[in-house]
Amino acid sequence: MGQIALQTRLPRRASPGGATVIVLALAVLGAIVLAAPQESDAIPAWARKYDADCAMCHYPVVPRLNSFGQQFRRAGYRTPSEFNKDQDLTNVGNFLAARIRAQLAYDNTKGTVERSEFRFPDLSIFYSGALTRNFSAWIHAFSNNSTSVDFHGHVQGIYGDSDGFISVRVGQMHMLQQEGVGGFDRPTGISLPPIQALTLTSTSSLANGTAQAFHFDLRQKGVEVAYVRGAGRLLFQITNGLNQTGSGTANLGDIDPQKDYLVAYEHLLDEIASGFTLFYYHGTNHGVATSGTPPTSTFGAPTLIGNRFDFSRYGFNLSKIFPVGGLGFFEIQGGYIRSHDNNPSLVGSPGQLSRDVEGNAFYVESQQYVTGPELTFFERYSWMDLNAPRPNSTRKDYTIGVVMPIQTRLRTTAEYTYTDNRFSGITGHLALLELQANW
Amino acid sequence: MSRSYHSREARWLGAVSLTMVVLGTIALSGCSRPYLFMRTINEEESRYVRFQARYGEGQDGVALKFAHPVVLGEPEWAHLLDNIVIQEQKKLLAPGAAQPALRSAFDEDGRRYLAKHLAEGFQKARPDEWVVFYLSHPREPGVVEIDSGGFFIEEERLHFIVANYRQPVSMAFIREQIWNDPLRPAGDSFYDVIPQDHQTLQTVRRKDLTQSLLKQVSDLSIDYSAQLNDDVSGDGETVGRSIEDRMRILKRLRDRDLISEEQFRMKRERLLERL
Repeated sequence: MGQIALQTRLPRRASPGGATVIVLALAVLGAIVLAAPQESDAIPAWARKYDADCAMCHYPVVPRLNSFGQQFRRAGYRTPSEFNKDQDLTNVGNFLAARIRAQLAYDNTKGTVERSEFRFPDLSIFYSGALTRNFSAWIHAFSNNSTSVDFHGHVQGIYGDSDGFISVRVGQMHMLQQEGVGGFDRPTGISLPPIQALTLTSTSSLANGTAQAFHFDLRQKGVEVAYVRGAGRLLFQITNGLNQTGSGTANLGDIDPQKDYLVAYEHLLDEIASGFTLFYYHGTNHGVATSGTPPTSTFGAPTLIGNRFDFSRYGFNLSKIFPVGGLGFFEIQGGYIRSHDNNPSLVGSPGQLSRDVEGNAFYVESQQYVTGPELTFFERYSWMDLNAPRPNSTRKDYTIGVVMPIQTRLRTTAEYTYTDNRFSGITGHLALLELQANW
Repeated sequence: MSRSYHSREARWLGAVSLTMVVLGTIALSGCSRPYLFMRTINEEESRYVRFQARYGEGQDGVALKFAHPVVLGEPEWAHLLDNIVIQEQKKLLAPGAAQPALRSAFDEDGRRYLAKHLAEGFQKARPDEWVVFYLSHPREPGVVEIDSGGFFIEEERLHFIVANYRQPVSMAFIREQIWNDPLRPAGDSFYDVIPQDHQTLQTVRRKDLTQSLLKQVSDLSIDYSAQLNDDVSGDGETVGRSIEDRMRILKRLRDRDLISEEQFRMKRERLLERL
C-alpha cells in the first residue's frame, strides 16, 4: 500500500506525451466498458458457492463489506444457517478466487521529474472458506508489481451459534485495516486513508527523538481472540510486533521478550455498512541507537536487546450512511488516531533533549453512491501532524475519485490525490486509473 | 515554480478531469429514470402482481402499444408458466459435477399465484401496461430470494422479461428497489432461461429497464397460441394435464378465436381417441 507515500527517486527526463497515454488508456477503457459481454459464469468463490450477486455481501463496491458480509467474515466465512454444519469441500471453485489490478499512474512530485507509468500492484490468489463445522482457513498469495510473492493466512475456529460466538484466529493477519468496520474495511477507491496506511510519527535527522515506523495496514503474526454478540465484536490480538523490516511480516526477527497487543471494539450500526471501531494498540521495540549517535534505524534489531521503545496508537473510526430518497446513499466517514512513541533515554545527542514523539492524525471522507449506474464518488481530506511538538510538521492529503463497477467481476476507478507535506517540504500530485478484476 | 511546471501540472490535471468526466458520463448516461405508474392486481406482504406503465426520457412507454387486453384463463397461464424452464449455470472448477437439471421456473405455489393474477391482469391491462410481478422467499436469517420480472403481449407473442431470479438479497434498500421496480435487475443471475418449443430467447440491452448501458436482460418470447395448441394435442405425460383440462383449454381457445373451428374439431377428436 502506501501509494500516496512520497518516494525518493532519481531525477529522470520527463516523458513527453503522458497526457496522450492517459487519453489512449481512457479510450481503451471505454472500449472495454462498452464492449464487455454480460456473462456471469466466472465470479468469486463465495458468490459461486451461494449463487449470490456481490451485493449480498458488499456495499457500495467490492471489496467493502456490508453488515451481512461483515458477519459472514466474522463467522469464518459462514452464513447464519451454516453454523455447526459440515462443509462440502469437493468443489474447488467454492474456495478458489483470483484478483488482478492494473493501473496507469501519473506522479508529479515537486523536486522530482514528473512521470507516468503502468503499474501492476496486485495479482492475488485466494483459497479460503469454512472447512469443517467449526474451523475455517484463509490463504492469500499475492505479487506486488511482479517484484515479490508473499503468502499469508490464518486458521480460525468458532464456538457458539450465530447469535453469539467466540472466534480464535492464529496465523498472519491484518490487525484492523481490511478486517475492521467503520472505515477500516478497505477503501472504496484505490488508496487507503493515509492515517491508516502511513507512519504517524516522524523525526528529522537531527536527533530529537525517534519514531516508530508503524501503521495499521500491516499483517502481523499472532493470535486473535474475539467475542461476537449481535452487531458487536470485541477483539484482543497478541502479535510479534515490528521486526527488523519494520513491517511485522518478515519470517524471522522478533527478538522482543514482549509482545504487542491490540484491543478493539467494533459495532455495526445498520445493515448496509455503517459502524464504528474503537482501538488501542501497544507495541514494544528495541532500537539500536546509542548515546551520542543520532539514531539511524527506527526498527528493532534482531540481534540486540536494549533501548526499549514503547509506543501506542489509539483512536476511533466511524462511518454513517444516509439514504437519499431512491437515488442512492450519502456516507460520511472519518477517523482519529493519536500516536505516542516513548523514546529510550539513550536517544539523542549530548546537549539535545531526548523526548517522546507524538503524532495526531484524522481524516474525513464523504461518499455518494448513485443507484442505477452504481457509481460511487468519494472525497477525502487527511491531516497528520507527524511530530506534534515540532512546528511545520503536518502533512495534508486531498483525494477525490470515482468508482464504477463494469460488471460483477470488473470495476474501474479513477483517483487523484494532492499531497502537501510540510514536514518534508514536498508537495505532489498522484493520479491513478485502475481496472480491477475479481473472479 | 517554473512556468513549464505549472503548464505540465495544468495539463495533467486536465487529463485527470477528463478521466472523471468520461467515467462520469458513461455512468450517468444510465441515470435517466423512468416514471412508473403502477396499479395493483394483487398484493401480499411478500409478493404481488401489478400493472406497470413506464414513461419518461429514454423509455418506451409512450410508444408501446401492446396487444392488451388479452383473455387467457388461469389454466392456460398455469401451462405457459409451467413451460418456462430454467437451468442453474454450471459451476466453475467442478468438472465432475453433473449438468444441473432443467426445471420449471416457478414452484407450485408461485405458479398458482401468478396464473391466477396474470389471468385477471391481462384481461384488464391497457396497451401501455406491463404486468409485473415480485415473489420473495426467505432463504436464511437476513437473506431473502427474489424473483421478479414482467410480461407483455406484442404481435401474437408473449414476452417474459426475467429481471431477477432466485436473487439473494441481504439489504433492505435493494429489496425496496426491486419491490418498486421489479423489471430492474439487481445483479447477475446464476440461472439461464432455456427456451422450449415455440419459445425464443434474446439477451437484450434495455437501458429503459436496467438504467445502464452495460447491463442486459433476458427476453423470452413465446408463441403462446402455438404452445397452448401443442399442449392441447400433445403427449399427456409431457404436459402433465388431464384430458378434461385439455378439452377445457381447447374450448377456450376456440371461443376466443385463437383457433379455427376446424382445428378445434380435429384436436378434440385426437384427445378423445386417447380416452
